[in-house]
Amino acid sequence: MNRQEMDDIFAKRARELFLASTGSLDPQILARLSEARRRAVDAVDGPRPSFTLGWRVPASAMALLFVAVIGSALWTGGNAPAPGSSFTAANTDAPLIMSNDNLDMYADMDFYQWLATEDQPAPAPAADTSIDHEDDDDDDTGVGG
Amino acid sequence: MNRFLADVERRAFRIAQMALRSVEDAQDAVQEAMFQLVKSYSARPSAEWTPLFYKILQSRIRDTQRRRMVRNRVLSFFGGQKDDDDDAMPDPIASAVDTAGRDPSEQVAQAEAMLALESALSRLPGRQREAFMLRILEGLDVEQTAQAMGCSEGSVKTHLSRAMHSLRESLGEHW
Repeated sequence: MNRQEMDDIFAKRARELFLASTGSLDPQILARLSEARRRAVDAVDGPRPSFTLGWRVPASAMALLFVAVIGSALWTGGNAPAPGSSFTAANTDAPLIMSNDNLDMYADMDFYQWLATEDQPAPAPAADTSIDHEDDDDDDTGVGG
Repeated sequence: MNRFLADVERRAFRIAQMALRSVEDAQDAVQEAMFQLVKSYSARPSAEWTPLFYKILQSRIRDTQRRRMVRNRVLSFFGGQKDDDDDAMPDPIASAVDTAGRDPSEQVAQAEAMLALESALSRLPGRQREAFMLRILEGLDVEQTAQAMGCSEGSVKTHLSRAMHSLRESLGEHW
């Protein structure tokens, strides 16, 4: 007899003894098991009291809504940036940082603004442009001399 | 579901009792497993109920064993009170009611053999004991046993092989 056959015989005997022991259980134990089964099945299959659910569901929903509103208010209120805070400054500086332009230009912004006002053409007759140019040169010479 | 539970409740109780060696704890474990199965899995196909039920039951058994272990450690720390759960199990010979009409000597011999098996099972590591009880005593197939134990089929075979070897060695040839 090989090991597998011996295992099979052993397993068969163990199962027979086990099943025999379930057939001789104490009646009190059997009654408790039946009662436990009946309660377990009734808990799901039995009629649900509609009165208790009738007010519990809306009350739970309202409580959940209340908590959600308070929570969101606290969350947004707590995280809102104060005026002039670093968060606001960061937001306004963001286009500068993300721009491809040379940052030096922004550093000398006052100069460029002044230059723009100086470059505005002075109101003058259009026919005298060349003369004005010469005059400018003369003026320059005169100033320089 | 009622029919399924009625079919399985006696065997489930005996498995829990053999693992926990306490009538009260075994009843609690089976009752909780019934509630959990009905509550969570009654909509599942009935073919899945057996492994699911035994998975829940094994989980309850392990929880009880863990609680007992913690309690025993605390008690031993504060004065070494003995856990008397082993004594809570009734003597199967005394409480046996033979429904098959066998003669008393045969009945006693079977009860003694079952006691010896239970004693040997109690000395096995937990996973080996689970594999033996589910696969051999309850008669689940390897796949169902693996589902109930939450492990691979290969692990079931390994645990079962070791359990069989230990039990046969422990009980001897004349068991």
